[in-house]
Amino acid sequence: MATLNWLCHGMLAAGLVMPCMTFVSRMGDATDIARAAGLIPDPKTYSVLSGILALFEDGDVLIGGVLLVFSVLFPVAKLIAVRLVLGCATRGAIPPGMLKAVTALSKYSMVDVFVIALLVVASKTMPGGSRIRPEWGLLAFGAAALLSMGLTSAVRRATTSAG
Amino acid sequence: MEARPPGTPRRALPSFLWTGATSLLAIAAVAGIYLAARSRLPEREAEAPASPEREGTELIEGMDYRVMVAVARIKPEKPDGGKWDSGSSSNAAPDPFYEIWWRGNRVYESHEVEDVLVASWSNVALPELYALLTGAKLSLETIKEGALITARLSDAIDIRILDDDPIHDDVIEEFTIGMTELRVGDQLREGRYGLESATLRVIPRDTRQLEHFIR
Repeated sequence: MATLNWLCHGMLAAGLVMPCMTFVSRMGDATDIARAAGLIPDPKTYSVLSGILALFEDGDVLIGGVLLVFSVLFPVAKLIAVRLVLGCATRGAIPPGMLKAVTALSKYSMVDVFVIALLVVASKTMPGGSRIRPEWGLLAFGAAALLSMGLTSAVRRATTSAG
Repeated sequence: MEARPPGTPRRALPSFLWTGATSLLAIAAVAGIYLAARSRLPEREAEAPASPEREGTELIEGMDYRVMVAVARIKPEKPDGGKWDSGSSSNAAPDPFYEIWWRGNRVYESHEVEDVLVASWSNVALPELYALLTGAKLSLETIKEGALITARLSDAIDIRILDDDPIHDDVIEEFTIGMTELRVGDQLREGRYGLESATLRVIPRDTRQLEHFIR
C-alpha cells in the first residue's frame, strides 16, 4: 500500500502540471476565415495549475481559490493523511481522528474532475462547434483521485480487521 | 530532561511535518521533471503535425472559391547568387507578381509590386471579411483579387511567382497545388527556389455559407 501511495503522488503531480483541457473556439465552416481575420483565438491548452493561475490573473480570485483548495490542497492533504495512517498502522497506534480525516478529505478530491466533466458536456452545446477537449492530464488527475479513494478504503478495511 | 516512558507514542507533530514535507517534495519532483522535459522539447513540438482545427476546412466539390497569393516573401538573392534586378543596389529588389493557371489556362495575373522582398496582394480581403462577419452588408463579390475557380478535387492549380523585368520575367518560384491540398483561409507554402514562403488565401465565393454565422 505504501507503493500505491507513492504512485498516487506521481499521478497527482502529473495530473496537476500536464495538459488537462483544450479550449477550441470555432465558428462552423467560417472558422478558418474568422481565425485568419483574427476574430477567434487559436486553441488554448491548460493544465490544472495553469488554469488556476489564469483565473487569478483574470481577477477570478474566488473561483481560483475554490479550485486551488479542492484540486490541489485537498488531494495533497489526503495523500499526506494516508501516509500518516499507514505509518501509524505499522506502529500499531492510529490516532482516532485520522481515519475520519482521510474519509472526509477523500470526499472532495474528485470535485475538480467533476467540474471539468461538466464543462466538457456543456461545451458540446456551444455554437459553431466550439468545444472543450479533455487532455490526458485530466485522466492522470482522475486516476490519482480514484486510486487514492481505493487506497483509503483498503487502509480502513485493514485497520478495522486488525482492530 | 524527563525520559519518555516505554510504549508512549512519539509526538505526532514532527512525524506529520516529515511526512508532509516528503510528500510535497515527491509531488514537486515529478512535476519539475515533467516541466523540465517539456522545456527541452520545443523542436519536437514545432515539428508536431498541426491539430485538425488548424488544418482548415477542405474545399467542397463544385463550389466556387477565390484563390490568391496573399503574401510572398522572396529571398534577397537569386539561387545562383545574382541580384534580381540589374542596376545599382538601391533598385536590386525584385518586382514580383503572380499568375494562377488552372486547367491549362492562365486564369489570373496580379499587378506587380515594385522593389520589394515581401509582396502583399490582399490588403483588401481581410478588412472586408471582417466587416462582413461583423454584420455589415457587404458581398464577397467585391473582392476581385485572385483567381475564381470551381473546386474539382481531381484538379490542381499552378502558381507562378515572377519578377517583372523589361525583357524576360525571372521565375521566382513555381509550384502546383492539388485541390485536395487547398484549405479555406490562409495556408503557408514554403519555397524551394527563390521564395522563402508564400501565404495562400482561399475564400468561398458564396456568401450564403457564411450568413448563418453572421450576427
